[in-house]
This record gives sequence, structure tokens and C-alpha cells, in this order.
Amino acid sequence: MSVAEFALWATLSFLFWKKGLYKRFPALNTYLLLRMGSMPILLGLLYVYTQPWGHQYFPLYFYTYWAVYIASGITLFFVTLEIFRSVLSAFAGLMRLGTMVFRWVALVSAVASLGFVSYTHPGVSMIPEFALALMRSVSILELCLLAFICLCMNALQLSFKDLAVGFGLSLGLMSANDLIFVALETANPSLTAPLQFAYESGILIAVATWLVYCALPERMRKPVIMPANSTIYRWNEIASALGHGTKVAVQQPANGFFLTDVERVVEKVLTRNLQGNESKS
Amino acid sequence: MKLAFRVFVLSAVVAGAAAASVSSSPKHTLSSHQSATAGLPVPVCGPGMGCSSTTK
Repeated sequence: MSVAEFALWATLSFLFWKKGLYKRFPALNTYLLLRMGSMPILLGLLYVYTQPWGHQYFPLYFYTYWAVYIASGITLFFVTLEIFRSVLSAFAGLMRLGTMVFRWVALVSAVASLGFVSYTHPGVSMIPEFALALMRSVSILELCLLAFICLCMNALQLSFKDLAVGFGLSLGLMSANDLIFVALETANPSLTAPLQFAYESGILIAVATWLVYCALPERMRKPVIMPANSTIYRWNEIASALGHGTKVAVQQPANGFFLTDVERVVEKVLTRNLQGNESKS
Repeated sequence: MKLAFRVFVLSAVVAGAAAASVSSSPKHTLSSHQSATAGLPVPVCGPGMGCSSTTK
């Protein structure tokens, strides 16, 4: 199945570049380049390391493998952000505000996932744990993106044939497949072989879905027309207004209460004295 | 059609989220196929730690 999977990824990359989608999705382009570029290098290192004379090259394979793994996780985060922005592209204000919220959610997700990594024995063994936790947090983020797309499709006037929707769907399916397989395998260790088959099939379906979306002719997105009193339009207006950089002086609470009070008393006394002098004269 | 799509997507999201809550530790996880290293043997132990790799 790995050969079929690699063939699907290669076809997907070819279609992606042929249709010029790298201009609209640069992070996805980086991800596909990483997939296509790192595989021959890793296969070469694996070949060398599995030779009878090649055990000394194991560290090279180890570090390269996990470096590519972590790079994949980071790239996938940017792909998720890119899809999110693409989905909200018709609403400039909401996109800017949403990107900010998205970054905070990503930070919380990363901290929550990396919190499970054991830091009691710092060393090389932490690298796999760190990489797996990072990928897990990105997977959860992809699921959240898919849920967002699904729930906001009508409000954002998205079609399920939209390219960004298709990419979000494929990523979400892959992450759901990963998480479900781990949960089932942990619960039923005796069913590893059939579960492995189902898992691989799930991956192939997800990549094939991605491929179909890439292969289909892209429909021009219609301009979003909505009533001026619609909720999402108002939210977009509010979000747009929030982005304007007008400087406003914010009143700070006074720190030194005593000094402030003395200043006020002195000012009052001076004002009264002045008023008294004016009335006498 | 759109409703069927949404029902399918929501089912996948709910199943994935439920699975994520079952196995929350990174020790109960596997090398993701979303990574560019998919299909290659996973070197689970670092250099000089006494074990080489798994094929999962």
C-alpha cells in the first residue's frame, strides 16, 4: 500500500503544480515539496543503515527522520492556517480577526499536547515524543478546521466543491484516521493487522479525495452577496473596524494615590486663593 | 447533497475527537501518515540507546 500511497502523492503533486495552485496555497506547495524531496533522501539513508556495514549511519537516519517529521508538522500548521484564510477570504475583517484567534488556539493546542511529553530524562529520547506530540496537536487543529468549515458553510456561502473545503476535508480525514487508529489499536492490540489494513485504506481514500478536488476544474467563486442586516456581515464590519489603527488615549488608573490627592488639594487651594483675591480687588 | 456532506464530515470530526480523548498520551500514538516520512521504519530509540526501529 505504501507504493500506492506514494503514487497518489506524486500524482497529486504533479496536478497541484500543473494547475498553478502553488500561487494560491504556498504552504501546501512547501508541504508537497517536502514530501517529494525528503523521501528519496530517507530511502537512501535507510538503505545505507540497513547494510551489514552501515550501522554507524543509524544516527544520521534517526536525526533526518525526526527533523523531516517535525518540519512536516510545522508545515501542516501553516497549511491549516492557509486553508482557514482561504475559506474566509471573502470577509477581510473576519479573516484578520480569525487569523489572530487561530494563532492563539494553535498555541493553546501545542502547549496542551507538549505538556504530555515527559521531561524527566532530557536527551535524544525526547525528540520522538516531542515530534509525535507536535503532530498530534496539528491533527487536532485540522479536525477543528474541518468542524469550522462544516458548521459555517452556509453562513460563509461556501460550496462543498470549493478547493479550500476539499483540502480541509482531506486533511481532517487523515487526522481523524490517525487518531481513530491509535485509539482502536490501544484498546485491541490483537487486531493490529486488520486495523492496519483499514488505516492504510483510510489514508488512501483521504489522498484520493484530495486528488479528485485537484483534478476537477476549479469553479470561479461567486461574489458573496448578502443582506446588509445579516449577522455575518455585521460581524465582518465590526472586525474591519477593529483593525483600523486610530490611536486613542486610554486613561490609566493613578498609581500614587497620596501624591495625586496632594496635587488635587494644592490645585483647589490655589484656585480658591485666586478667586478670593479677585473678589477682594 | 450538501446535507449528506455535512453529516459525513461531522461524523468524521466527532469520531476523531472521541478517539483523541481516549488516547491522550503521546506514548499511545504512532508515526502519522501526514508526515513526509510516512511508510518508512520509525526509529523509536535514539542513537546508542540499544534499539533500532519499528515498521509501524
